[in-house]
Amino acid sequence: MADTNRSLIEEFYASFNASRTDIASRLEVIGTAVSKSTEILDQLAVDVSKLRKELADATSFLPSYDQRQYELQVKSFEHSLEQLRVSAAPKPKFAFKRKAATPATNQTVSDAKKPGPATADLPSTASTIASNARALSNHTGQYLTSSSLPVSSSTAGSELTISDIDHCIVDLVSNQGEGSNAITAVHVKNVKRSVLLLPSMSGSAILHDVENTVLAIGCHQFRMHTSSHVDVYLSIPSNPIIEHCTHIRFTRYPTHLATSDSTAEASSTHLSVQDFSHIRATPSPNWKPLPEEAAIAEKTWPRALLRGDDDVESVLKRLLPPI
Amino acid sequence: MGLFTIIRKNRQKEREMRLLFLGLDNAGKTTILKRLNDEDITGISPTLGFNIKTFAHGRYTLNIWDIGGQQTLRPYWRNYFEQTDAIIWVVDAGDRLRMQDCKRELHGLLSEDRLAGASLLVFANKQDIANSMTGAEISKALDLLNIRSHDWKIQPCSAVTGESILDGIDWTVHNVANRLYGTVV
Ligand SMILES: Nc1nc2c(ncn2[C@@H]2O[C@H](COP(=O)(O)OP(=O)(O)OP(=O)(O)O)[C@@H](O)[C@H]2O)c(=O)[nH]1
Ligand SMILES: [Mg+2]
Repeated sequence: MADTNRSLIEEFYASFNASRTDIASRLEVIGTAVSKSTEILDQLAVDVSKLRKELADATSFLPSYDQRQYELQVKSFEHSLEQLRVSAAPKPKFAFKRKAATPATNQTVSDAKKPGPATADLPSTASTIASNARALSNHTGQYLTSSSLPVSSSTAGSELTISDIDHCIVDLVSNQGEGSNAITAVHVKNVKRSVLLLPSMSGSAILHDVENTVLAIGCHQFRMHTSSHVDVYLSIPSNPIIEHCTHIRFTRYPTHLATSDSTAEASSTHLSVQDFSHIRATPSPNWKPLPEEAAIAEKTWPRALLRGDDDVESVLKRLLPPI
Repeated sequence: MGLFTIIRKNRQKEREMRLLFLGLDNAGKTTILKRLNDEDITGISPTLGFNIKTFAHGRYTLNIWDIGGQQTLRPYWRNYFEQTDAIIWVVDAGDRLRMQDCKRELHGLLSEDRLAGASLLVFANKQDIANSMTGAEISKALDLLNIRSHDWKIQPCSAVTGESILDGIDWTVHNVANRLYGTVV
């Protein structure tokens, strides 16, 4: 066993080193080039993700110190690539910075680190505080707005659960409630043939089982699972994730709806999608950028949702992605 | 000197602990880790590989492993089990839709031979969000009260404000130290 491992470790070392030398020199060449070909960058990205996959597969036998070193190396490649991509793109300046997540963020860390008294055991003390779920569930053929939401009693932002929606238009951007109703994060499950227009929020969005739907959202992180035929209009400062998805198209969040921070939209990384079901040497076949001409015109959001006396059904017919 | 004593001695010299951060994707594992390390938490992307951080905690050195929780990565979790002193199971307390998944994955871990004996800390994270589930609700949803195989504790916390993160880590270090070295920190 130990011997098998040793030879596996050596083999991995040799092949990793070969790839490393190769990738490092290619990065250096393109780094100094005046114009950076996206084709070369794409190929590099493919090779780096291949290396990442090989490393993941090798974690069962690599000693932890080695794993750490390899991981750092792969991360540094990914970082260099990202930088190169940014300098290659004729885009606005790239920045991950985004407005402070919540007012609570301002609380100093040292405060939080104060060695307070050990928290009392919870099962007994906290059981009296009932938590109130906020949910939008079980609707068919409806036009739903913020007024369809249960009002949050708290002044802090809350989590919203959206589930079991079919043939609906959900517009939580128009007529947004007071700050007391702000949404911090969303959990979405089982939404079919619908349009979801959601505001920008400081927290994350996680979605499962979304089909044939248009979704617009601004969020800190985005994870979509087991979904298909979804057009995503997204503003985000991190890499959007898809897993077990097909036919997903990404584009930017309608600029004029973004209430908060316009620079966040300008530097949004909505096309840095990572497909966790496709960590290998070819580009993911499961998503692509939404072509400009197929996108809902920016200025018509959210009016595009209900125009004149259209009914929900005809709006959906007009806007839903083709299957 | 029995073998057990020798092992104990060696560990005593090293005074290292290996803590494994696991949980569903979006729970807040990486954010907690960055918060502990005073790093910026605004640009964090979901974890594709893993992160390792080393911290000094009293007389101990903590090696913390933060592993990605996306479904496709969960089969790799087992690669990190060896030598684990404590599992830190992080829960998004607002994720009512996936509490069942969360419970299943957690109880799956607890039946792993290589994790036998490890301490279990459950972080009920995101308490800064007004309508997050409470510690009591999560204990119930995850069926913690029926865990007999591991020492466990649930700690409501917030990675964004930093609230109660250190309390949870303190409990974990004490619990492990007690077991390994028979001492309190
Ligand atoms: N409001 C709030 N949001 C949080 C808190 N902790 C984490 N988040 C947010 O939750 C999302 C997920 O956080 P991560 O740290 O990336 O989660 P993770 O568990 O590492 O996820 P994977 O790497 O995919 O396994 C991010 O958008 C965080 O900003 C918290 O205490 N409060
Ligand atoms: Mg992570």
